[in-house]
Amino acid sequence: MNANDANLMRAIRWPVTLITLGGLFAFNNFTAYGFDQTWPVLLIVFGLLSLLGRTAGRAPAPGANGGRR
Amino acid sequence: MRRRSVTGPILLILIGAGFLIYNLQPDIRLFDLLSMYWPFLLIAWGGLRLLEVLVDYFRGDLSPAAGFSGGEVVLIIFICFVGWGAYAAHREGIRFRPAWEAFGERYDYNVTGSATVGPDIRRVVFDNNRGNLKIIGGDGSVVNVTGRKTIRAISQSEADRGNSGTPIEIVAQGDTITVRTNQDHNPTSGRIFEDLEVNVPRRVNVEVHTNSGDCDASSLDGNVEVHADRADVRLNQIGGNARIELQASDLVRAADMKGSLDLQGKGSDIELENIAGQVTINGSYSGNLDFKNVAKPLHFESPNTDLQVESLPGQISMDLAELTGNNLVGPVHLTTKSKDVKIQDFTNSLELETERGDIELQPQHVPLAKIDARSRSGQISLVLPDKAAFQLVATTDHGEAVNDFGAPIQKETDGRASSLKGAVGQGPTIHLTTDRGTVSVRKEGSDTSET
Repeated sequence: MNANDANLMRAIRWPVTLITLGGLFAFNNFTAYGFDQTWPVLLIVFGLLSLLGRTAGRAPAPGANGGRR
Repeated sequence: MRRRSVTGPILLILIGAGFLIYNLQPDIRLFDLLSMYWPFLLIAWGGLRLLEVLVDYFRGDLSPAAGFSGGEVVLIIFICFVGWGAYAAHREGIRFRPAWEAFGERYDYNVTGSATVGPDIRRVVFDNNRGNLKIIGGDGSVVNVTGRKTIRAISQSEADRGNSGTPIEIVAQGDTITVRTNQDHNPTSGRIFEDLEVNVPRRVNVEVHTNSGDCDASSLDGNVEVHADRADVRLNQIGGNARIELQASDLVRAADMKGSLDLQGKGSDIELENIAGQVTINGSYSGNLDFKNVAKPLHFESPNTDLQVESLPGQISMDLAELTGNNLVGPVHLTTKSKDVKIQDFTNSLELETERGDIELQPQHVPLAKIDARSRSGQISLVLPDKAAFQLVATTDHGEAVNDFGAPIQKETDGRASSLKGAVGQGPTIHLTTDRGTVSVRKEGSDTSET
């Protein structure tokens, strides 16, 4: 894996989390599973993405943390 | 240099399109739809960002700093809060009326109309799309409509055009007279609202169809039927039966009715007083419900509560958290999910079940009624008159048992479970069961008890 893949994993982390958030609220509105029950999914998704980002980015990208806005 | 995100402009376009749809097609309930579908906004937003990232990636110019800015995070949190609130309000039956509905000027017009009611006319039907309707029964033999039409429009000529396109019509056909406001034929986009007062002969049956607005009917001998999307309904001195179907309402009030009442739909408060006929209520109501003096059986059914009483000389009040009753004629059946229940004085029998909530029962007359009360989680307290005779089986799986009646009642404790069993004189059986909580059987007027 190269540094660009690590960047990709980091870059999709927030959009995917946002989609998950929207999905959970949609579940809340249209099914019996309320957001008060399903919110841990957010942690799981975010954790998984972070994990993937870490395995992808063994060689840390330039300014992996410090380069963030 | 990194491209700027396209999400902002697209959001702006969506918001603009939303307002445009609302202005051109006011009948689409955009805000009700938004309160349900807003999560898809987040999904679309996330999807767009994902797409951008992938496009950048395959072009090979993915910036390592591609994340959400602080402003975006704040906006997302804001959308979640507002959407969550809007959804909760929507579920409770609250509908949105945006403030900018007040754009344009108000133009008022008088509305009058009348028709003679022949002896073969039995029914008067009202088709009023938006507006308040007040129907009063009288001794005359005419339908007489007076009132005011309000049109919101950008100019006088636009309002005039709206007014002349929506004349009130009173048409007799067969045994029916129909009063039509014709608001759906409005040639302009101006909003019309009509406040009408109508006198009808008291003998006729009345039927009302309305989208939004209040409906008052009084002093009628016939039946009353109301079908509305959003309306408060008040009925007073109705001789016949009443049937009300609502999608949303803040208040349904019925007083001094000789016939039955059938209420279906969603709403908030209900007030019933002096109803001689049977009462059937089916739907979900989030406000305060007050039932007083119902002579025939009353059946209330909502997603969380089922209540049946044979008649109600006294009163029942309930909201989402509590039900109190006084002077009920049984057999009384009550099943509810989470309510505290307090009932004083009831006859014949009482069958009561609550998932979560305390139960307090206080029959005041001997001989006692048969009682079967269960709570999954909550204490049960029974206060009995001094001279009461009964057979008791009271159990709790986790909790204490309290007994005021002394030796005839045996208390047993087994680990965290306790029970009271025994008979005081010859009387009906009383079953009290709770999974978690104290059960107590007390004598009226005694505050302290041995445990």
